[in-house]
Amino acid sequence: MRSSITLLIGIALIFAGFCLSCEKKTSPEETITSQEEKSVPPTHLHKVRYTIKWLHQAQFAGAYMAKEMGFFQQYGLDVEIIQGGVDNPPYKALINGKTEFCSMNLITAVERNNPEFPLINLAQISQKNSSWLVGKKTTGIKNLQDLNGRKVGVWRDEAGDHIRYFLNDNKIRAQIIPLDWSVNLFLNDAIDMMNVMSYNEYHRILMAGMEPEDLVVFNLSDYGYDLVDDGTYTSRAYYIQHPELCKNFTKALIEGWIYALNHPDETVNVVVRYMRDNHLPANYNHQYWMLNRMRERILENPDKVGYLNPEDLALAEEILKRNGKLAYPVEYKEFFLQ
Amino acid sequence: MKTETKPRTIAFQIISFMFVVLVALFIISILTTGRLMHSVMESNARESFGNITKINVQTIDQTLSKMVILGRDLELLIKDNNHETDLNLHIRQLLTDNPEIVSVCIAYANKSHTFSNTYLLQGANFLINPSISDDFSYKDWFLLPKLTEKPYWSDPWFDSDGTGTIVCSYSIPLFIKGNVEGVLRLDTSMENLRQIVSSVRVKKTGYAFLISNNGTIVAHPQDSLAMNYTIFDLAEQLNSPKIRSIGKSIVNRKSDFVHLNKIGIPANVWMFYQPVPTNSWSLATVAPDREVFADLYNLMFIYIGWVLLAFLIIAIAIWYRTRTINQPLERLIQSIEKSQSGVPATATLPDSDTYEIQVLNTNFYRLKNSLKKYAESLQEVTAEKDQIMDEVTFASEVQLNLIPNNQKSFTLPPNISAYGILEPAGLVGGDLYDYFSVDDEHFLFGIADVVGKGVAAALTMTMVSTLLRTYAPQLKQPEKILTYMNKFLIENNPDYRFVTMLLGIIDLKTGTCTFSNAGHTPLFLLSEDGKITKYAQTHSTALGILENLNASSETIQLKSGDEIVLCTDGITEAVNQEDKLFGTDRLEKVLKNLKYPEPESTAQAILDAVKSFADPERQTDDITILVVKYMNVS
Repeated sequence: MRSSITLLIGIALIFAGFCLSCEKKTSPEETITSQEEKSVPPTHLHKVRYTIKWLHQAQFAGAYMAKEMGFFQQYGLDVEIIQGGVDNPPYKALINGKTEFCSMNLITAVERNNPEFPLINLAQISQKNSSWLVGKKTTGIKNLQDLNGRKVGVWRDEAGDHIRYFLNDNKIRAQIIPLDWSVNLFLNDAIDMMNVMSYNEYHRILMAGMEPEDLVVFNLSDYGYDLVDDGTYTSRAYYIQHPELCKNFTKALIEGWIYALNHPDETVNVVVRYMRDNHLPANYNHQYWMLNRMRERILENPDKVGYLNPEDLALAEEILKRNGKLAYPVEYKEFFLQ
Repeated sequence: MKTETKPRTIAFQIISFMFVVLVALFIISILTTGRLMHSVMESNARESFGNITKINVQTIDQTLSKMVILGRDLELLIKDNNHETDLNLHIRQLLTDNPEIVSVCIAYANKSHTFSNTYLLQGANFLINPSISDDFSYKDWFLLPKLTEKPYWSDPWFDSDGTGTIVCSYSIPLFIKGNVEGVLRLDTSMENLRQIVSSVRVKKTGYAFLISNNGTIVAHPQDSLAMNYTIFDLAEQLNSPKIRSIGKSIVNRKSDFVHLNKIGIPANVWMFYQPVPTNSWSLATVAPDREVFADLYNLMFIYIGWVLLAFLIIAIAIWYRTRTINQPLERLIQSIEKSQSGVPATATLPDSDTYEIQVLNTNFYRLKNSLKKYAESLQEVTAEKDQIMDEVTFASEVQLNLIPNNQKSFTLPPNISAYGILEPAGLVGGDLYDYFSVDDEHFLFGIADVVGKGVAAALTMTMVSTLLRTYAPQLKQPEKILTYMNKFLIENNPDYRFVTMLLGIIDLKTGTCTFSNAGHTPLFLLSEDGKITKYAQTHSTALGILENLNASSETIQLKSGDEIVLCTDGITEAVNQEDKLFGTDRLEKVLKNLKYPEPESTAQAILDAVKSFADPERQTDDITILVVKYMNVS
């Protein structure tokens, strides 16, 4: 209850920030307050696309509930939620004009950001690192250095970039096995360790019969890699063209998250429906578990929900710089519009 | 407070007793038999579930083991570097001859060449589909055998490059110069396996489901579970550590027969699981409790029915039989109730073949005759008793006539007044008081107590009274009279009944009183001024004991108004409820409290005091009081 109230206050502060921003940068004709928009739902809805980072799951529950509960509609938006993943990487979709909004890891966004196609972080949804490396104790791995010469499963493409940087920063010379999404290589001992999200794959490993005490876990946060991940992005170009729309999208998305976290049963039903409609393996238990972990990630700083901490941005830039991947340093004020 | 128990009939008592006994026996029986049967049925269910599971595991395993054999053959063919055309022909023949295998894939991924061809039959057409997606090298079916260098059975997956269906694959690593460069994959339709599983029927509504070696439910009658849940997801969702434990047993390729409680609908089920040898999946068969033990429940229902029926039959039989036995008794009771005398001459027991009733019949006749004789005898005795009572009553009247009549005070000398009370304990008594004028100058008074009671004592008293009246005028001195009476009693008293007696003679002129006490209670002299003098000395033993009695006497001077108070031991030895005697002290106290005493009032006061003191139930002795008052008329 307390966290919900704090969350609401946080959201109200964010909204206030957006409103102030609107007044500064938009003409009086264009400015329509959210209250006015919400009280009189517009008859004409603006169609936009939102490409999520991965396949449909509770990790993106806020978007489903914003659509389900009509929050997007109340802000004049008709949002199509599109699956991302390796077949449809969000950044690629954004740059190719296949989506107006997308979710990405902060480090991916900073790495992809460039003067030709600058990005805007509309809301930093996740306030906490969720990347872990997990292995079986039977492998004898006890510390990071034990990974040298071992087979470490890392997601291919951008999803696993930060793990590769992490291993590199820690001078681990492991045999990196690019993975898709399966945990079967880990379960069948084809690899010694794999990267997992604390809210997803870790639970899938437990739900394959493993016990937490049988596992060795390296939380990247404990090694200076407290990288926040899921954020909502658009291109600067789109934002300049549709600043009000972008702010409304963000407000509706965060309202959707508030609703999702306060109505977990209803939300999980909606998530599972999305998954089944897209022929994805879906079970209530796992999605409920994931939604609860999302609560922890989103409410890590309850009074700053959706807020991008400059220090988090600095950490991402520093990691990229160390690994020679920071082509264009990011200006915080231009990257995250408060 | 003791409550009165309502009488119950014999039939009711026997039936209720039998009911309690039967219920107890039934409970013991149902517990022991039920437990035994439960154990037997559980054992049968284990066998039955095991057989069903084994048969279906074999069916699934036939398909899978066939894939292994065919896969190895094909692997050898590829290793032999056969011409591509020959290889294609061989694969086509393989797919034609083995419809269980829906597609074959040969994939290579290395720096020099990466390709993947999927071979399948579409109707009569043999198709070779190159992989259109470039990510096969990240899929489990490729990556796992490549990394482990061992064959691998995949979880079901959607093969978009091949049949476009969900398949289960057997992948074999292909070695080139000792390195795994490619993978040979044989696919079977998951639908085939699902049909095998869905065709399994256990009991009435029981079913089977298939679990992969990582706990994923890959085939289940409930579509929402298949490919979506692991058994550990179910355990977590149902918060059931037991299911999680079973899940671990399953992924560890063990076999068992287990019972699960409160896991949803149906709440309680039995489950048998067994691994499929070839790919380490497991097949589990499940059926609800109520169906596994349906025969036991039916047996129990029949058993309960039989017990109730048996009880009903026994109850009716007992009721009927006890009614037959009771009928003679009921008739007897009715005839006795109708009879006013309680022993009816007509009261008879009907003939019965019951031993107890026959014995009762015989004894009843004997009792009836005895009662009849007793009643006749009682009538005779009663008549005799009535006659005796008449005679005793007459004797009592005679005895009472022997003592002076208090109402005839005119017979007394002018300076004497007297009052006597005699209350026999029975109809006749052994006490006596008497007073009369011996001559013109002398007045005699006396009181006596014959030992014993009843008629014999009364006759002795009559004798004493007669002797006193006869010889007193001649002898005139108390001690002589007593001595004479003693002699007479010794000679004419065969029963040796002794008599205590106090006899006194007042000289009417001088007022002297000479008295002699033969073993009697003391004489009290009550003066007009209230002074009480007790003369307790006896002058001889009681009369009728010693042949030679030397009685003496004592002379006192009476003053005008003096009262001589005499009583028998019926006064002094009266006993109250606390076993205390009335005694001479209480007698003196009564006398002290008298105001303006007169013989009648004095005697009545003594009598009242004794009666209020004594326990009437224990008043067994005659009560006699005599008060004589002397007045100096000169």
